[in-house]
Amino acid sequence: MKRRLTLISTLSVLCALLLGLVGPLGISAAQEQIQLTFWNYWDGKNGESIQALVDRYNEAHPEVHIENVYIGWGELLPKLQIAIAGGDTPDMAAADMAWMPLLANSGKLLPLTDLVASAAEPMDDFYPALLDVDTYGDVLYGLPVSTNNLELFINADLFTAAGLDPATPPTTWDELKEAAVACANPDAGVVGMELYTLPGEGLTWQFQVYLWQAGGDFLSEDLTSAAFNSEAGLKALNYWIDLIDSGAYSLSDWGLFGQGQSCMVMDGTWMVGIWADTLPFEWTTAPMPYPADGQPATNMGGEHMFIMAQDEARQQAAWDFMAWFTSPEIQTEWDMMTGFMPVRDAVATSEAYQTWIQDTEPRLQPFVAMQQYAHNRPPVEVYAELSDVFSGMLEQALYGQMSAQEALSAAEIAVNALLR
Amino acid sequence: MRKWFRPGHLLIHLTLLAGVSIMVIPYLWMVTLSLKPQELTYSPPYLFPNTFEWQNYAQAWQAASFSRYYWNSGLVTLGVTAGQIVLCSLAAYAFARLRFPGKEALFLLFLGTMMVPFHAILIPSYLIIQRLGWVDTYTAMILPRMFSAFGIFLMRQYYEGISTELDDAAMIDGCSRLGIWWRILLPLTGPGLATLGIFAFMFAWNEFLWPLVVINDPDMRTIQLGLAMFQGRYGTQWTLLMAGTVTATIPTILIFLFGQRWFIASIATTGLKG
Repeated sequence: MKRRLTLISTLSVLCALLLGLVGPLGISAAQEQIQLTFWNYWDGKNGESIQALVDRYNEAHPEVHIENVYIGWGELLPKLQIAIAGGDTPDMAAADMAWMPLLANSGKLLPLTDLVASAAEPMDDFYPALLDVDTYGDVLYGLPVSTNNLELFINADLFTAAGLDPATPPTTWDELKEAAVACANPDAGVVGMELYTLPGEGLTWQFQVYLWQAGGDFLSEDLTSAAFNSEAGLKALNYWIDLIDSGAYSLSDWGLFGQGQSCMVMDGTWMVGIWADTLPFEWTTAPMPYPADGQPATNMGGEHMFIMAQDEARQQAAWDFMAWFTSPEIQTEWDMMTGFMPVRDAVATSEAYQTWIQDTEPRLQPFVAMQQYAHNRPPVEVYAELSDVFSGMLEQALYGQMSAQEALSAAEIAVNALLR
Repeated sequence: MRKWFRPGHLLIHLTLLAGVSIMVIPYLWMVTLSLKPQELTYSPPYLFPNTFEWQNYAQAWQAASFSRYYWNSGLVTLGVTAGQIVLCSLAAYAFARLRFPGKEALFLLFLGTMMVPFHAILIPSYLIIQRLGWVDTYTAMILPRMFSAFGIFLMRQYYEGISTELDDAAMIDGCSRLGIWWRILLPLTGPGLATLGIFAFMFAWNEFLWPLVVINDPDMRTIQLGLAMFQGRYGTQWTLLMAGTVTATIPTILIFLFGQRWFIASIATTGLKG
């Protein structure tokens, strides 16, 4: 009997221990202050910057408290989707622009059209190409809060060693190829111009730049069919194949420029900040060269902010913060803190911002100057799948398993099937 | 006299050595990366560490509230492991020893749940947790994980390997059902419990998706969620990520080292000797 008691008491102690461990922890004091949560994936320096701005806003507005919650880039979209499924969403979030079609169609995003129209200060100078990503059926569901684009990076040490002058970068496709061939050094494993040739969005969004530069488009204007199987598409793809055939690039993994194994690469604004601290060689930037008979173009990324708050008081409080965060003054400061690029003309052309660029990081200048030529990737829900099949077909052409025309035709059929 | 050299052995050892390198190289690679200066992350790779930047570890630890994440992971892992050991072995005892209607069907049903991929029930599970108001609690991370079909199956196999004569003898001496489980079966299935414990520990410690879904509060994050934070949209801090990963794998390696002999030990039959 006594032994049995020991057994039972041991078990109950174990159970108590477990229950104690699992006791609910979240205690929220009832306060009149409005509590808002703001999800985003800004980390490192960007994370510190948004936290500093949120802290400052909280201090100046005692009636609200915004909690800035960092969620990793890979985790934010699934977390938002689950939150939407459960109806328990954060009040605000900033997400990758590529996710906007999905999120906007969830029906949980607060329409901003009227709020923007009736804002105290005019908000009409956001870049239209950026707002396209937030607009569905004439309703605005978000605002851009940062952007970036792709331009040319040049390894000045390799350039000089090959007898080229990094101060006079190539400006046309012909000059780009010429410089790349001259600078490539196969014996040392150095390529002239690095291309992204692995299947995936990396290939698609790099190739789109060349496509737009050649005068083509990725999808038809009404976003219902593929438009890349055109003269321009063929010209762009043949240019890549020519870069490979001429020895300017040899097929390999991505990342050669960072290892000092490529003279040039087209990469994003954000790499300026990363490479400024990490690369052991001299490098510079230039606008991405385009065909003599083509047009300047680039691709863009960045984050867009939106409101998911449920009741009116919280929606208003969230909008107040959003209006403050997207205002020219705060955006100028934000861009200086993070190195992100302006989303509003008022910021890009402001003297404060221009002076800052010249003084601190002139290598950002080509990116800012070219932002006006930036296109956005087509805002369709199936974009990820579409990008996968497109890049898969292109890879076959780059590896010589299909002709350029065959690859584009095959990709057109596959993409149209996805869009149907 | 024993021959010290046999061609056959050489072949076996070469094969084993190849196997060992396949197992060890990723770990070595992780340690090497974790000890690299950050500016060399992009330079050509090498396998053996030749720089020792120990401050990567300090930096990784401070980059986020890692001590908090360790505490959370520790609590959750402990809760899940203890829960599985107690509940799975109790359930297994019922399935192995008791007679009740629908026993076989119920057991098959339990085994069947192993075939349902977790992703399929992710959203419904989250909705249940949310309606219960358990989002951002340890309960959400521990409770649904305290039982597993695998654990029940494993323990039932162990119990069935032990002769019922022992039960009968104990019952004649006046031992209760629970008493038989506690005094006879548990002590004889040490290796089984250890195996179950190790599996539960590894599973809970490495679990990513479920905590990701039920935890929003940064203070409630587990170590695996913390590690994912080093991978950003605009670049990954590889040296810090690897330093964090090395520290995160230490508990699992320790558990495995100490539990190894249990893994290898066979089912106890000592009770029937003599």
